[in-house]
Amino acid sequence: MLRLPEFNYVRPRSLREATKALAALGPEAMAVAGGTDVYPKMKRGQFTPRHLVSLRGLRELKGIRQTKDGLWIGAGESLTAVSRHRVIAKRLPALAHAAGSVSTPQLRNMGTIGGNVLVDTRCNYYDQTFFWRQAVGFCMKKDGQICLVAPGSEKCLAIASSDTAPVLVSLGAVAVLVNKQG
Amino acid sequence: MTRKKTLSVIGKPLRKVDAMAKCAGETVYADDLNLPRMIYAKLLRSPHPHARVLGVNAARALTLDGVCAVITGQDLPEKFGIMPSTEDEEALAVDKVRYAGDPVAAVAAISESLAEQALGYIDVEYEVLKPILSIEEALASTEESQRIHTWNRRANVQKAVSLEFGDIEGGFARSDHIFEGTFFYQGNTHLPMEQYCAVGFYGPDDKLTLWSSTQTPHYLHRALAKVLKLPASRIRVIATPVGGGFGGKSDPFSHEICAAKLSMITRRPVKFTLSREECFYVHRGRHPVKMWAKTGVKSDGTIQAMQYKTFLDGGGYSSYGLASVYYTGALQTVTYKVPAYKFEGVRVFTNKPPCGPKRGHGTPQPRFAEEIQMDEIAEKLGIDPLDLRLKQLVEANSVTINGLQISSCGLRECIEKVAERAEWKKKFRKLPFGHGIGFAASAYITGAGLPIYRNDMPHSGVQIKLDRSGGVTVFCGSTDIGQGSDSILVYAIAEEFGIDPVDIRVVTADTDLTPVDLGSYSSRVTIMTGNAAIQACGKLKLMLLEAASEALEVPADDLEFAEGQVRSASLPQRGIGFAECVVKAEGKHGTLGATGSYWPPKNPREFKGSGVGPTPAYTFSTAIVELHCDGETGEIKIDKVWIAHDCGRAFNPLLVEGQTEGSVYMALGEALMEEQIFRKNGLHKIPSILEYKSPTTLETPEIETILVETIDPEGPYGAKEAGQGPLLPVVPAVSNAVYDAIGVRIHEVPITPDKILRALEGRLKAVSIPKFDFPAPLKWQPGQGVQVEQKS
Repeated sequence: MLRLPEFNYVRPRSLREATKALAALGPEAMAVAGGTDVYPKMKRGQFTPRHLVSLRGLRELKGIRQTKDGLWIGAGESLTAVSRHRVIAKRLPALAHAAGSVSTPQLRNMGTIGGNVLVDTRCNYYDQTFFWRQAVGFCMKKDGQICLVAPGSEKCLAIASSDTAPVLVSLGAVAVLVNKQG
Repeated sequence: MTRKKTLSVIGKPLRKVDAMAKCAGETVYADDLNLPRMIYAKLLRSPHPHARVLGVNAARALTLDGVCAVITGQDLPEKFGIMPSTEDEEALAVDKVRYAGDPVAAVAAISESLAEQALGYIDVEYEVLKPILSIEEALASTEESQRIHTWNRRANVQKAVSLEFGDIEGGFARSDHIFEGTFFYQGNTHLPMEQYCAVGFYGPDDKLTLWSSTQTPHYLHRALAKVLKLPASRIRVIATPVGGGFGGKSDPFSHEICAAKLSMITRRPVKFTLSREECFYVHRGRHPVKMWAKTGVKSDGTIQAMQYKTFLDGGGYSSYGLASVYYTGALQTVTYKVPAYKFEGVRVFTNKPPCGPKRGHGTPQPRFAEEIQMDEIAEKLGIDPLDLRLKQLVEANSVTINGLQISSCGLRECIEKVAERAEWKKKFRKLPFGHGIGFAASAYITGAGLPIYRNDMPHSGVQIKLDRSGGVTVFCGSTDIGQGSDSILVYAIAEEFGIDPVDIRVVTADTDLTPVDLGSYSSRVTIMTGNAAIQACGKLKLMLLEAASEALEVPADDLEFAEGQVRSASLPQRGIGFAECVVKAEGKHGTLGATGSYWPPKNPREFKGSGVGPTPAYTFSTAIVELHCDGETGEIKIDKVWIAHDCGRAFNPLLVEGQTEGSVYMALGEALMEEQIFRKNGLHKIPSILEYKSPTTLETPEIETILVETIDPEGPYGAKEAGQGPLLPVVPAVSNAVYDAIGVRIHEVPITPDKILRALEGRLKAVSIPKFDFPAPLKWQPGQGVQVEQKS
């Protein structure tokens, strides 16, 4: 079977600690929440982080609350939670439907809405093992020079695969970003 | 001894003997084995489909801390292969790779990830050659320089055959109508849930043990001895419980040989567990086959002559190909009376993973063509397709034009029952546009009549030991691949001795402990091990009866084995318990044990290639498929499948239904979705379960199974096979149902929405058939032991 390569696992206790760790570890670190996209991609050699900073269990990323402007959804909430939330199902059924349409129940239980919004682009030339990508001749997205979908193209044609992002955009959602300054 | 009138175990829907362990997660599969000091191995595979290997240098990999050994083709130069006359495989490529994924080196290291990492440190120098990727390219590549293999006579032709039975020219001349068509059956793979895995250990006693997820431990035993150059007596092969085989675990494989070799070098247990992607490269699945079929009929629809040409895309190695090519022509004659038949087949080499046997081995492809052509004949002549078949079915105790001997035959009952349940007459050609129903029939073998290597020994051996406790242990080389062969042994013995199945222990698939059974392929296990077990029981029963007769003072011919007792049939209260009877018999005869053997009936034919087709008993299946086909999108939704199968006797109806339904699901995958397809550079396009689409429970429709029992004279308690035959009629029935739904004929599988749309727009081209000069036909007639004439 495909083995997960070795890596350091950092488990911060707060969002602030997490952003600091990511900043300190630099480009060799990646954030991981549910891991449903990160781990398979590490097994296939598409992601090669030395450090993973876990966002699981960060209280600041949890919760779905009504606010005066609308709804606040924590990025760390699972897709299952989003798809089954009473208020979302009633007020934003498109979002509930989108979150509930992702993959399988197991992956929706693990995968988060934040991870789904940021999910890596997908492509049949890219989402393959190292052996396969090597055999086909690497593409520009990872290890190669050209786009194998359209060899003349100057940019990667892999498409965004987020199921929830289009709905969130159409609903006028705003994303709150944090860095090490807060 | 009187024969019991009723059966107490056979025919009952009992739980499989290994079911609880599987449900509880306690079954120990090969990958669950963890031996002390075990190390892990990986194969370095070629990224090129066709290349010369100029050099392999492992020096850098060997410097890595924790890498224990690296082997290359030079370490295992001996060729092997499942068919003795076409041994053309190497455990690791010696001078050439023949498909993308062909192994070139193997590494053993203290962890699997380190072994994987070490692959990147092995330097291979390739001279890349032009790959041959289609049947047409293979047949056109006749230059010596274009050869994939050098051993075969014609460049890139593995095997070409031509057989003629009866007066073929006269048959067509007598016909009022001639139907001709071309067909293509796409290749697909087995996709068992358990990936390939093997553990090898060369012990301090200089004996090798190999545990492997294999369907054929005996053939693997032979291959290991040959390639490793070890005496077979020092090799032990244990087939671990197999998590699905479907034919894909029937060859000896590179990872099995390398696990053994690496252990011989390191003296540590070595484990290989292949990734899902690697399973697509190991393959041995369904051959892509192009076919040309011609049938001549009288105006009432009776067949006068039938002729087939088949072109098999074999992939990089021979595997079972020699048998596969014959199987694409062997069984067309086993459903309808065909007075004259001609078959020409050719298997070519291409630079793709080798094809081999998959459920139905070589017969689903021509059956697809035959049953669609029958539907077309019925349509043209204005006859109901069922009536067309019913008027010319083969009969029990008859011989086909190609000399195959049919014993029991429940085909008529299969047709009638499936038609009745599906309400065929009410629906056929009467459903609205987009909604259709289709029918097909088929026949299959219950075990190959000949072994893979020529020998006179039995095909199956069973040894039974009786314990003073009344416990019974059975030893047999058969391999349970989930089909329930361990359970079959238990049921047969429990029935014979009149004891509870739970008092029987099964020891199977261990070449040190168990007598040889040839393996779980060709649907042979129930009939062969069942008969061998009954024979062994018979020998023991004689000793038990003698002891019981003395103890009870009842003549032996009045004794029966029933309800855990040996008792008088006329006065059932006079009996002794089975355990007590064993004690008395042991006191009288000494240690109690016996063996049983099974040989299939002698091959009724004698000509080159005649080994493919004969079997102890043929099974028959019919299917009706009802579906919806969307004329706008081309999407097909299967509403329901009715399947009737003549299984001889349902040894355990639960298991037979399970096999039948499993066949239907697999057939629907082949009919609608599954494709083993390749990029222009020869690399597999979709080597993952994510992209290789196969039906799940969501896509599997309601299946209604009808078991027809014909109690075959050769079968144990009359049983025939159930594991493969029911796949065959489903695929053409889908195509025939599509025609009923939307009025277009699809001569190709998978029947995908794009093909439906192209057909509706009149843009679906007929399948092209390559040009090929087949050898002059070998002519033969039933009743003639040897061939009558052969043109030069």
